[in-house]
Amino acid sequence: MLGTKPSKLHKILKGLAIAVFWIAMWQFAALIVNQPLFVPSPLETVASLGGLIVTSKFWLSVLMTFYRVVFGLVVSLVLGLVFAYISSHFKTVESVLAPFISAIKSTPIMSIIILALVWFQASFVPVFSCILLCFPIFYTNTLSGIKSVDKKYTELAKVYHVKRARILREITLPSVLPHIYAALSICLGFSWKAVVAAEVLSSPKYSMGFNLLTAKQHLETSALFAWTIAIIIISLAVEKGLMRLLPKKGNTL
Amino acid sequence: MSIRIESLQKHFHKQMVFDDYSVTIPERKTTLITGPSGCGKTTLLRIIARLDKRYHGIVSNVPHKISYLFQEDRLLPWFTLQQNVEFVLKDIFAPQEVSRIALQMIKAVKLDGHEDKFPAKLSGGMKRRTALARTFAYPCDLLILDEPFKGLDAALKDDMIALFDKLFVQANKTVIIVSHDEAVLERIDCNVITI
Repeated sequence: MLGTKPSKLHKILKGLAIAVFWIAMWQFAALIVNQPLFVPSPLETVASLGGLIVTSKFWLSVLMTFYRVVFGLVVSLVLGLVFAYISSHFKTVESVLAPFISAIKSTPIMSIIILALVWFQASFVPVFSCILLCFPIFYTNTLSGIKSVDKKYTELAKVYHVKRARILREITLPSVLPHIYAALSICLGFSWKAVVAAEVLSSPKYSMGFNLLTAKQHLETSALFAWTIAIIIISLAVEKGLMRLLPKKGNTL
Repeated sequence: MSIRIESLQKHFHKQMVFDDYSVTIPERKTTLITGPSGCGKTTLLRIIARLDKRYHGIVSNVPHKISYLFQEDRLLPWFTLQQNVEFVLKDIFAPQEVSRIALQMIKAVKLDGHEDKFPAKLSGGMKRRTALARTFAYPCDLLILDEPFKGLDAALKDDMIALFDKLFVQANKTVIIVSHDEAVLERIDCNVITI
């Protein structure tokens, strides 16, 4: 009906219809190519995924990749917050960091991974790549959040001699949180891409990236598709789950 | 002791706002500052409250504990009405006392029943009364009010002026008030300074 909000059922049905459309397109492409080595059908991929998820190796690989993503994200978040806070207080630190941040942002992820391969052992390369990719995003967003704190509120706190810790907790943090959430949302996607790409090149024993590489080397395209789909599903589930867990502040700024 | 401002010089960009301006604001009295728009009333308040230190001259005997009602409400949008009032009290009183004082003042400005509402859900008049409650709740030695009753309807304005009169004017507190409101001049016993 015109002017009414679509119901939840309507939304689900619409989502399902879109999914069916793209699966049909995939099936159509598989039929046209007619070479499972290049494009396996959705059914073959699901069968391959079904075969994978019953193995302990699959879950161990998922767990290890997940651990690397979380570790990389947490370290880059902490570093981003700390350095943004320091930079907001010391202009010199911001100026010194600026070229480093710009350089990292412009560096291709593959360059970072290959350099990390030279410097570190294989298992640390994905974590390092994730940190280097996500740190500038957390840093830049947090710093711009701190800079955007309304001076009117800090002035109010100053008149009433509000303690520095409370200003940080009750004025700065609520103003910066939306910026940190935005960075987190971007980094959740980036971190999976960086970690899996680094795993492909560094090949740690238990990793989703290493399994992708193995599937490619054995020309098991359906397994390659299955691992890719598993990565997409887990990455999306983590992103949606985490964003749902974060407090929704209808009353903020 | 009276607040003394001597030989004040203040300019914005190249425009001189105060040029060798001196004034004494008496202790334990209400002083109303009037003057045309843009003459520097708010600037003078900000200098007295130590929020603007870019001036030449001497400003002395300003008490340490100041409660300042800004021209804008300056309510923190992520805090409820009650939390906004409590914000200025937390470093002075114990938590139970903070709540008690805040609730008492919220009731005094006739906002009881709205304690848990966020500023986004309050009308302009309710926001102003929340800001008034926050300002009045703080135990200060100098009260600064910049257009305190703007945006309030006639009946509420009368009530708020009466509350201000009872809490501060009759209690002989040092108050500086900037207002264009005739009702303030009519109802409050004050010393008038025209800039």
